[in-house]
Amino acid sequence: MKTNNNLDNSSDNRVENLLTPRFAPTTSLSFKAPAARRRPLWQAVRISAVAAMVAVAVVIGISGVQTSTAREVVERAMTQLLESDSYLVHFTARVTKSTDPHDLYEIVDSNAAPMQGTVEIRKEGSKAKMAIKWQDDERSMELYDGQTYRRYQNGQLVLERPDKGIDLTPFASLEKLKPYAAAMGMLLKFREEGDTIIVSDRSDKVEIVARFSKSEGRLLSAECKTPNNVTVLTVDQIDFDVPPTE
Amino acid sequence: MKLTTENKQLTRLAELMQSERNDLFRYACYRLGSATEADDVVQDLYLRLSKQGARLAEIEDLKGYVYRSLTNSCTSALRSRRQFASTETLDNLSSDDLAPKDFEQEFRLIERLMALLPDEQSEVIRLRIYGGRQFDEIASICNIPLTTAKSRFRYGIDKLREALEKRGLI
Repeated sequence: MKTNNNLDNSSDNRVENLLTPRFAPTTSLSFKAPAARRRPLWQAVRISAVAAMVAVAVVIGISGVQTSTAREVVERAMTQLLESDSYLVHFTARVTKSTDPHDLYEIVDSNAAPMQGTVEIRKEGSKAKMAIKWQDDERSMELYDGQTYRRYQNGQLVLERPDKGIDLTPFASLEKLKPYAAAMGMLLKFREEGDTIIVSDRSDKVEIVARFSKSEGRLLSAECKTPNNVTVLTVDQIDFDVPPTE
Repeated sequence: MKLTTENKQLTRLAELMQSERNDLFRYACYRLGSATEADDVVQDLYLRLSKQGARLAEIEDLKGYVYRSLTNSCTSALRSRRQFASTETLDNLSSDDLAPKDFEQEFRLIERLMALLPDEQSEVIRLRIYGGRQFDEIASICNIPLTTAKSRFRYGIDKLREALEKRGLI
């Protein structure tokens, strides 16, 4: 039987017209079913993506202003990130090496020993080149030039395959970053607690925390934690507009 | 490749959220008065429901469940900022206020009107006008008979008309 969804008596169109939305904002939200995962998502997240997000968190600390809301501070931080032609993130991460040539070289692993490294991102037009350098015994280095991924050990090329590398587009604004993060199963939330701005993931897979002193206007720390509270990534320093490294 | 039960359900949820995203977002916008907050609430809802995985199969009317969850999420969000309804009345409403020029003005007007109504009537009106729901869907979401959904809508509209007429605004 077809349901009658009409009103039995005519209602007042003048009132309904008054209530009808004319300035409804639009949304860029998009929902896709998550793909099957081989391992917990926080482990599969690219170290580069995590580092880039931590970079955002770090800049929050640098540009923190007392009168701004957390969201405003983040927006400004992202603008600064985009306006910089290059930046270099010095980090310490707990990672294990993968022998699978199709996999990421270093996989975030809360049981692994901490290793230091850097992520250098350099924008050239619409493309972003990225280099990850690890302070391991083989002096491992990974290069993404927007088309190809190359892995070097002791200065020798050991792997080359097509790879688009990191896309900086999501970092253009919070509105673009949120769906990007959501596609990785993360939902970024920005909140202030006293002197601290915390960027966290509501799905509890990864928590990125940047702490800074508003009163002093300087970064105190930035780190990425697993659900069991193990710090897997710490940003030690971030430099902007750095000259290219070798 | 054969999909697992969990993947089937997550796909079912994602497809539903994708097809309903504009209505879900608009409802949340006109409930919360903020597009940013509406975005957050809808995304949060999706992630929360995704966590149910294969258990989603137990929900027969998933669309009704999603909308019911959204109304609860919006109520929680409003509760967390301790703002349920506009404290402004219609007394100082001018004819200019009836012709809003942007979303903020429009939301403020709607909040002032909704504040005149009992929650059960304003909720039906919101689901109908902002959520774009049919009356049978509203009945399912609110767990009320179809006739009650319709009468709540009509009584709410009548009450608003009387209030506006009394002040010579329509």
